[in-house]
Amino acid sequence: MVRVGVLYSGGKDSNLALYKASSHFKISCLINIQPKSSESEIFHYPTANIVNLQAEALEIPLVKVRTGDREEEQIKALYNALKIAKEYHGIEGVVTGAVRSVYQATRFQRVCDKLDLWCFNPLWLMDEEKVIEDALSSGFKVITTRLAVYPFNAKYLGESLDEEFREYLRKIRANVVGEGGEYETLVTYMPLFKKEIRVVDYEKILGKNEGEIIVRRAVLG
Amino acid sequence: MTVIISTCRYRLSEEEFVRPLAGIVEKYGYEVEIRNYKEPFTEESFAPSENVIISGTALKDFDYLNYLKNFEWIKDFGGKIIGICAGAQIISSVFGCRLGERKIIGAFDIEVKKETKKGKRRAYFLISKLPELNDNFEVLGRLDDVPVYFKVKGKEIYGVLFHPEVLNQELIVEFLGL
Repeated sequence: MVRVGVLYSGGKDSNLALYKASSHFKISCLINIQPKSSESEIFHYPTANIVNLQAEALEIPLVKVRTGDREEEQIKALYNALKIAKEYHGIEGVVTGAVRSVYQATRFQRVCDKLDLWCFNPLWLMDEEKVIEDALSSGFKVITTRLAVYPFNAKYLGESLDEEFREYLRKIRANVVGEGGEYETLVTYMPLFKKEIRVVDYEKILGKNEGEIIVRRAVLG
Repeated sequence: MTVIISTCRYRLSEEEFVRPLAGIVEKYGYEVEIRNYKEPFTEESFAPSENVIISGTALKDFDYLNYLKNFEWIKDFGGKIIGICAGAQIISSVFGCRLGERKIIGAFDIEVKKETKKGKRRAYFLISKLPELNDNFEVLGRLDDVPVYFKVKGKEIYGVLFHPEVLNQELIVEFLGL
């Protein structure tokens, strides 16, 4: 069976990609790239240490690499992370949650090619609402961790990615899947998790047309 | 009916290279049948009225090149075929072209010289073997000096080295005659 690493931000897309890949390949590790700020076009802004908890819930080793904001730094970080995953976890391929961004997909493909790794993008060109429907109908529990839309409504921060939230996005003509950075998500449960993540305490940081939550405490089970 | 022949060695790659094509065809109310490159097709396998799309696959996937004999029927097929990336490599190979090594990954501007929409268009590439076209082919579009959009002379058999399902979906719609 092919051994793969999954580029893992902890949000709905990477979790759905992981879920789909798990029935085809052996998932040898998760690969998390943490940009310093929320402006990265390649990687999703992290909810910091929650990814560690998700890896624990999945019982899959985690390769975690930090990066600066510049594109060259991020590409280098991706290269280094995949190289580590190849050397230490024996991966032959990488699974990503890329949906529609040609910019993002191109960079993933080029780095995989440099390292002679297969690149799999199981959500590629998937209908944006279907991504969410697939995740929710598969039993995913997803909350929003960052929201940057106009008009901004803080009540949707830290809340479930439910129909009401999607209706709000449709109404304000925002990308419903959030691939353009309109919002970020955190998966607290999906069928491959051995235990559910419980967010015990978080803080809302609000800006003019954006906001995010900082998870202060989360536990497994 | 539109038949999509998957060139993907791994099923997971079909999510990326076949599902989007099927989605485009189905969006216009047409039925889709998905077949696999390992099937021993003959010219009787397809009705001339059927449109055939031969998909692309992952950059590292070349297994389909071991099954070129399954595509010999293309030479005698009277219907319409479009080969995308790996599919275009298959079509050109069946008509005697050699594949050269050269990687093109990402979005680039191409120049389309013929067919309905002439001019520059952005196209997404994910390819590492480029056909060296012979006299059986007419070039319809280029990326700089590289032929990336072509057809078999006298037949409705097309090849595109880029992925029109990503950028240029209208090219597939035009091919289907929708």
